[in-house]
Amino acid sequence: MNHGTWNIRWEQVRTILIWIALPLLVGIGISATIPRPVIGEIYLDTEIDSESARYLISQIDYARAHANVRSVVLTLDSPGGTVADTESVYQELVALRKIKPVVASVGSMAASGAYYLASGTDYIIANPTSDVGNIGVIGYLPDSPAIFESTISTGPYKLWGEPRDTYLREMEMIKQGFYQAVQLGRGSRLKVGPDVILTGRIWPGSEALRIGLIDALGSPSDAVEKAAQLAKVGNYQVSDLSMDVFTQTLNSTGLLYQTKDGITMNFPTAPGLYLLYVPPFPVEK
Amino acid sequence: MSLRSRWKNKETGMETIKRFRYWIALILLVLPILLRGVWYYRGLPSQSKVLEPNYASNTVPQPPISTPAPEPVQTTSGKIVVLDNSHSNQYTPSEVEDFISQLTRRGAQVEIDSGDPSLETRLKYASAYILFSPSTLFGTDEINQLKAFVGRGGRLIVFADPTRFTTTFDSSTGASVPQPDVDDINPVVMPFGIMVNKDYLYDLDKNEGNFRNVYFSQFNKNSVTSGLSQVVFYGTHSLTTQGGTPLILGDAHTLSSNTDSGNNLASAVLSADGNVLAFGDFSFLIPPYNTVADNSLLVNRIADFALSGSRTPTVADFPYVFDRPVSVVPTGKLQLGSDLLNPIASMQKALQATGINMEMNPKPAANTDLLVLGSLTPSDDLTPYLEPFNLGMDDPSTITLPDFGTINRTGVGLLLYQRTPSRNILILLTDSSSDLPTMISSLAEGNLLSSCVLEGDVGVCSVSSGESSSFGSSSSSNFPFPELSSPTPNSSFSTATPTPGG
Repeated sequence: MNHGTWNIRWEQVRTILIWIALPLLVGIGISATIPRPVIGEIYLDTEIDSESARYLISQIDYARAHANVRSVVLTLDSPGGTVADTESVYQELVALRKIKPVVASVGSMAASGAYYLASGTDYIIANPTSDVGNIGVIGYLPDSPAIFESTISTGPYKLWGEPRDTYLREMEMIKQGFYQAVQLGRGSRLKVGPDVILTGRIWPGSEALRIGLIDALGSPSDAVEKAAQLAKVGNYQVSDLSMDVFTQTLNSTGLLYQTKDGITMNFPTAPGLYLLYVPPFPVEK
Repeated sequence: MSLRSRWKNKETGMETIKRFRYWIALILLVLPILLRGVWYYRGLPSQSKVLEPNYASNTVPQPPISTPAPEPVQTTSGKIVVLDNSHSNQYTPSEVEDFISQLTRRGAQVEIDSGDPSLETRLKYASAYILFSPSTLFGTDEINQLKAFVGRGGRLIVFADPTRFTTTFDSSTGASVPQPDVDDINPVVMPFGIMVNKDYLYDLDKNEGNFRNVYFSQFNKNSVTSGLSQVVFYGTHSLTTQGGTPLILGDAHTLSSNTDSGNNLASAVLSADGNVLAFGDFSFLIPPYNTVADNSLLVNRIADFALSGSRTPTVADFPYVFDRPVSVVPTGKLQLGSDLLNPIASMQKALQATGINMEMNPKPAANTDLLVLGSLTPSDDLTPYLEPFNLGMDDPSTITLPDFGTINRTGVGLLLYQRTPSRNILILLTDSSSDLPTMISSLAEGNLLSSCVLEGDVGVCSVSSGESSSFGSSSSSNFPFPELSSPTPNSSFSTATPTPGG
């Protein structure tokens, strides 16, 4: 091989390296920086109180702040909880939904405040026998105002918060907000009016589908697929956002009443208004 | 092809590459990016319009408070209204203080019945008997006494309330079992064709702050509903009536919790005879709910109803048959002696217990009531008192009375009662003068009436032991008459489900 031929070959190789291999490698390198889309999963499997609300909001914030989280599946298995905490999570959820699709997946129950949250998502999937609904407010009234010698205060409602009758009326106002959330969230998908919705009934998933409280019957993986579909992503990764946000375990705030034996009851410790489903005691008639 | 030409072709190829190398480089640069992008991302996510509730527009609903001008009331003195508190009633009299004050404002005397004296005794002098949410059953005797009371024109007002119930604890499940007041009320009101349903009414469409606080704007014309345009009941049972009048009715949105349906469901009804008024709620009597809408006016109307009965005492109401001091008037050959003194003293005590003084006065003064004593023998001084009763005493072995026919005199005593605006007269007659002390004692001690057949203001009594009394031509050891009759409306109900219009 003479020197001229060698030069020609080197010239060819160099051309290929510079104009083919290098751009390809650079392209591959750049493409590697394109993140794999993530379907974030947020789980609510307790009642909604200040602790669980903070936990949920942190995950929602994480999803908003991270571009690779293309959509979120909110998996609900909750009877609801306090009014203010539910509304906080709902509003954060709505803010997330403005930039990323959110799908609700109902496990065994999305009642009261938990359904409030579901109504703030783009799509709701439930099992055929999931408990869905219980739209409304429940209140536990404090005692009638009284005065005591040992506990003193500066006004008649310093101890009691407000007149008992006012609790009842505020409950109605909170109900209006709840109903608006459902009405606006579900829109034309809702097939029944307030006369049905506001009865506070709990419907099985299949019946909830019929009246438009949910969009489809399906499994949690169906919810993930739907979230991917709404986000228009494929070959995605599913990530439990709680792993990215929290390391510590949730502490109970004592929302629900605990007996001296440590048994947690279904009703709240303190009087007040709640977006909570409290199952009735079994009764023998 | 020669080596030269092949080399030339290579050069041409290189030239081509050189010519497009920028494009090729660009494509090769972009292709992996594009492929990876398409692998993961299939388009831009569709953004739905997100609408949020306008929380600021939601307000706390306020009740329609009304402050009606106080109406002038008709004062009726001497009427007594009894509030039952002897059946573990689910209320306290202080709760219904406003209602009680409306009664006393009208001149009524209000008594709380805690069981002593008995219901039977209280119903002898009461004008109205008011029952709030009992949680124990009325006995058969008590129900019969109420039926008789209403039959004599007494007013019975019954308040049920779905928010008042007792609970029993089921130790096996740990569950509380509610015991609604309906089960204890219905035996009382069903004889009058009224039934309180084991439900509550609700309205999700338009309500007073809560679904169970129901507006009522439909009223059937009656003195109880006069002037009402809207009342609010705070948790009410529905009621049904057969033959009576549903007074306060819900609209098409007022539903029963039993069926989640209903139209014109009644929350207050009046019995066919107009003497029994029943409500499914009494929260509307209690502050602050008594000032909402026309509730205050309704409370007034109920007080008017309680005191507007036509009940007048009959002989069955002894000793509550006198309004003034009583003069004892012996007639015929009757002489006051030792045999009569004890019985008359007993009578005096019995009347004193009711606030009535008794005096011996053969020539009674004006403004006194009379206790006339005598025998079943005509006498000049007795005859004027007997005229209203058409008593036939000409036959020495029998007497005749319009509602009783012919009665064998032996062992019989007559109780005759006449009530006029100026004087009340009670007449006690026996065939044998020896039976009269027994009859007086027995009446004073409260034992006589149980051995009398009563018809209006006439009582035919057995006053001697061991001897039978006979009526007309037939003889019998027992009185062949039914108990004191009273209207007993058909009380059979075919269903417990509330029906439209009650």
